Amino acid sequence: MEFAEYVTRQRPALMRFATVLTCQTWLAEDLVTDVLGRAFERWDRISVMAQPNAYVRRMVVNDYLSWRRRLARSSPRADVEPATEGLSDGADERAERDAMIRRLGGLPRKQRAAVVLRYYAGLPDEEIAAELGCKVTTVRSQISRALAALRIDLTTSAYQEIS
Amino acid sequence: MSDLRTLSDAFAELERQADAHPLPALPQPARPRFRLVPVAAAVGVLAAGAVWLVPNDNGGPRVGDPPTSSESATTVPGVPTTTDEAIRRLRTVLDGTATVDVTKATGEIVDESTTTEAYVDGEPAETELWNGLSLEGTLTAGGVTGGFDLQISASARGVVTMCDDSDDCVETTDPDGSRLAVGQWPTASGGVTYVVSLIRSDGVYFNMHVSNQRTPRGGSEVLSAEPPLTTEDMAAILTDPRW
Repeated sequence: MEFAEYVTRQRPALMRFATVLTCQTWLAEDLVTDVLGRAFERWDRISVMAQPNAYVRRMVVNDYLSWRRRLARSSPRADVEPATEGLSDGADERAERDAMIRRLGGLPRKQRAAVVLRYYAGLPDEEIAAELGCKVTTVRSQISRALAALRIDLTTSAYQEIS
Repeated sequence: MSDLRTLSDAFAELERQADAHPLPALPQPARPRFRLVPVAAAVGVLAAGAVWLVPNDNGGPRVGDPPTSSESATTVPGVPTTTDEAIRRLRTVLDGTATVDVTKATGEIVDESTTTEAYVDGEPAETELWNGLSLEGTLTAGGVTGGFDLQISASARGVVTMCDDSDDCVETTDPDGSRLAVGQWPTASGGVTYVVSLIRSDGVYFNMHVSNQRTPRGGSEVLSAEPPLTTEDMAAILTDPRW
């Protein structure tokens, strides 16, 4: 696959993933643009991988967790704002959802990445551990802490917990 | 208490906002490939792309702020806390084997033990402010001149891994717990930049780039065939006890 084709196909999904990961569209845009720039430079190697998109997504996660992103986050242009129109759910649900976004945004980065990789990307803990460069037990403890901070009670969840 | 459906709703809302966000132009392939872009480089990029920025109005020190005073933060052991002190110590460490012409010096290191740290879920919250300093300029050794930059931070907190998945970076851990990463990348304009990063056992973080171009970020004139220092030279500089 040519790089331009890859970008056309995958950039919206990467932007979504990065926004969920960062809770900030400006940072997501910055992350995706920067990562795609670097992916372009090594596209000859990435394009022949079995799962190029998984590799690029991992670059996004790594970049997000890297030191220099801590600089970027100190100069936000705009945070994600709760939507105020065009929604079909009720006020209570909207408020609960927006509160969840705020709690998600307040998590330590590694905890947030673990939660997003499990519950958004749907990865098993082993893959999350590989992406985050830590042990599976660490992933589980990070997610456990994150769920507590998010005030999520799995016993009342409508969804089955993945892995 | 919430449940996973609320989390899913939050993800969906963030997706909706991502979809509503205008996509930027296609990326340009001129960015360095190493994960740990120097702070000076990051500051330069941020400064050049002012459209990405709004002023940091949280009242704290900002990245790139000049030192506020030479007497501040003198209680951080084993690390220069001002750019003037960092330049002096760098010249001491170089010990005449190389000379530096510092064209840009920013930041300072403050004593974090005197600051209040927020906690999230029982863990220290991330410190969003860069507690470090940066030097940038040219370095000459053996008649060879190239660009260099050096960043020193009081803490490497948040650094998960110093190398990315590229095969041109190697990270090692010494018996004392210090971690050293050595790598290089070709710059878009035909140069090469060496990078060495060190997390000392006391947590102090060093990151140094040396290039055969005027600036290690690339995009500048090539001054010599090779960088003026080898990665071994750079590792010796960063691990020198005289810091």
